[in-house]
Amino acid sequence: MGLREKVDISSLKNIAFIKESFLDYYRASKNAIRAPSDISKREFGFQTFGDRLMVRHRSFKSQEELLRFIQATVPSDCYYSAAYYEDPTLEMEEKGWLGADLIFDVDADHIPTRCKAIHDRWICLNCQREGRGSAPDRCMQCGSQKIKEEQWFCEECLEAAKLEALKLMDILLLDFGLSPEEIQVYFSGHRGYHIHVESEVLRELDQIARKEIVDYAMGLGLDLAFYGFKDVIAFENPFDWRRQEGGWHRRILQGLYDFLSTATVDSLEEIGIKKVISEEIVKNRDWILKVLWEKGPLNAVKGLGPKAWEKLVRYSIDRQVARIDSVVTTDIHRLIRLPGSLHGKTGLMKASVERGELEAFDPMKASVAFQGGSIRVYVRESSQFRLGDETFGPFKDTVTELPRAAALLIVCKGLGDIL
Amino acid sequence: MAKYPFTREASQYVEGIGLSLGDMDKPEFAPILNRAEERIFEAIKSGESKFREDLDYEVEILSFPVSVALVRALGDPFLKRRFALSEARRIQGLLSSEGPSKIVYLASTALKWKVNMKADLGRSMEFLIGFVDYLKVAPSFHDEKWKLINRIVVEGLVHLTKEELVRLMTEGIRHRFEKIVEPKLDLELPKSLRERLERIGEFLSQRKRILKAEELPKVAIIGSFPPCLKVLYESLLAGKSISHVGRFTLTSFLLAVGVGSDEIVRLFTGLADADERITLYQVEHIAGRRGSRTKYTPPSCSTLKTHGLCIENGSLCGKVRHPIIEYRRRLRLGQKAKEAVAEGFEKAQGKP
Ligand SMILES: [Zn+2]
Ligand SMILES: [Zn+2]
Repeated sequence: MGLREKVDISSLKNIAFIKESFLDYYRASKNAIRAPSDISKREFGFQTFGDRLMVRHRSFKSQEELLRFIQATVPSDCYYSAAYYEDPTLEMEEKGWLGADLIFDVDADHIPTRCKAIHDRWICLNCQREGRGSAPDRCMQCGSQKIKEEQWFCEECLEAAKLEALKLMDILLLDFGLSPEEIQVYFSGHRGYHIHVESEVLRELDQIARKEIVDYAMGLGLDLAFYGFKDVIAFENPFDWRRQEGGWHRRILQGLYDFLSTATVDSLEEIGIKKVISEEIVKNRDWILKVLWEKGPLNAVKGLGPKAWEKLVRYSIDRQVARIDSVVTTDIHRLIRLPGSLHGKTGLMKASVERGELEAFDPMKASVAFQGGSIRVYVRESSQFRLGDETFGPFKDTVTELPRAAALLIVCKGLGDIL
Repeated sequence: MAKYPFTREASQYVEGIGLSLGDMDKPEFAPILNRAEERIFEAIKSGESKFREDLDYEVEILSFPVSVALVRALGDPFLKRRFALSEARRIQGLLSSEGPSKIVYLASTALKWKVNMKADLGRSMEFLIGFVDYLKVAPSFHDEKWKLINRIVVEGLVHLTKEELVRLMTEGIRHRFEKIVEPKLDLELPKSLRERLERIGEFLSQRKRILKAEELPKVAIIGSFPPCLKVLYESLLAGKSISHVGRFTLTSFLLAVGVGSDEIVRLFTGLADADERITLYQVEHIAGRRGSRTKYTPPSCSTLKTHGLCIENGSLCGKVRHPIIEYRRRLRLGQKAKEAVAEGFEKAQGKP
């Protein structure tokens, strides 16, 4: 059911409803969208409804001009370039790249959450085989790569994405020393967060430099030899604690401390430590934490050898890396969703997060673009979802009345039709 | 100033004297011209120019812009890179013996980097550099220790030892020099300079012939290299920086076709961050004489493809899965291979 039926998102009635809603939204306020700084040096791109064309290489002089264009054309998605160009309207090679903001994309796509197995589905367009969870690269039945994915986003996914965004913020503020004023966090309107860094000095960073920053945040290429783990076999001085001054040194130690404080035999076994040793660790927990805290030599802990220590360290690193989409950050010509604009797959807006408020931020409240309304829709199938304080569904083969925002979400997702 | 011609002080001094190239025919300037020519010869020969303390201060300062003019006039890409490398190496040697405050001063004024000494001296990491400046240069080094994630980064500052900061500055200066010698000089040169230019040009092509004959003797036929390895080899000769995988590929390939590790080390020492000791270690490691004692074979075509080293997706090669097989195939193509030698050589020379 559900997926097997042809999802008729292009039905005229649905599109008319979405377009009308989008237009209402863009007309309601002069500040519906937030134009980027240096607007005339940016390239803009828009995705159209229906034929899903991508219109690129557009340029605007002001927020008013941009908004007028959006009101006149009502695109399904609006983007602008992270880059600044001499002439954004020319072909890529001729634009004259002047620099680019540093952008990070944290998306539930890149975070393994357990809930995906429940709410994400796919169907092979060739042989009609369907399955739950993230789509495979190739269909296991016929080998086709033509696979349609239906991704849902639940509160657990969004919480997971937020956690990654918080870890990234920690790295940007503490390690890279960026000031909170240079960083703006947004909820993307779908499955994740965008972190925009606008700073004169960072603009000129090339792709290779950006890749280094990505690797730093994601913990890629981290070689324990440079963190004091010089000789695992000799195991004389596994950590040079005197060098523990910040950055990943601090992070590794903190991660070890956090994990060991609460680790159980089960959780230790889960990361590959033998049962006997795990029991030993739990039994001597206080002593181990004391050794860690007082920067003593790690071999002071009986039964806990270099191999087990390495597993602990690797795990603590793994817990603290920020899982981001590396391609977005390293692509210096990337188009980014326009803040304040509506997401074509949800009808939710790209909402900004107040400085310092990320932890308490409620994406399913802040991104709701419409209040009230009552729309009759047919819902083929939908998981339960919440918008603001109201919860809807789950639905299956149901005709129901929904507030406009909820109806929009169902129709944009292709899970139902306007009646 | 005489030591560090890249500083503002040095260029102000040169400007202050107000000489033009046209004056250089005067006999009293012969020592400057001699030294300028020497700098270039040193670059071609050893890739490292020496600081001549014995020479007159003025000669040492003024010979630098003159040698830059000569390199620009000749416009040879190989010489440009060699000269930039050679002058940068000279400065590396000098910087190493400077005190910390002098180093910080030079980095912040001449390179405009955000560099500081650490308050608590006596530790091994004495210096701090802004991560943006760090990332301008460090990614061109391939050693893992230069990867940002393997450094201490706190509050936007990367911690460095003195040796590391000097290494970074040298690379920054090399970039600077490469920019300085890049624009072609289209002036009518005075006679004294034209003569020297001819001598330099002659020595350069002579030297390139020797290089070619010496570098890869008898055993390896460069002309039969598969395109991917030809490109790597030519980049190496031109003193360009090569990725870690690229180096591994070239080294293991050369070993496989019978080139000795000493010869390979000699080849590699022209690289951006080559330290002879480390290079030797790496080459011997790949040769299976160190560490795991595994002898490494060059990566297959598909591996080269994933690393973006394959040229034109293999369309220039036969239906092979391994560069060594392509090499042998090309060797068999006898006459054609000979033509390829000539062509490969032209390219390696960096001739337009
Ligand atoms: Zn299939
Ligand atoms: Zn979920």
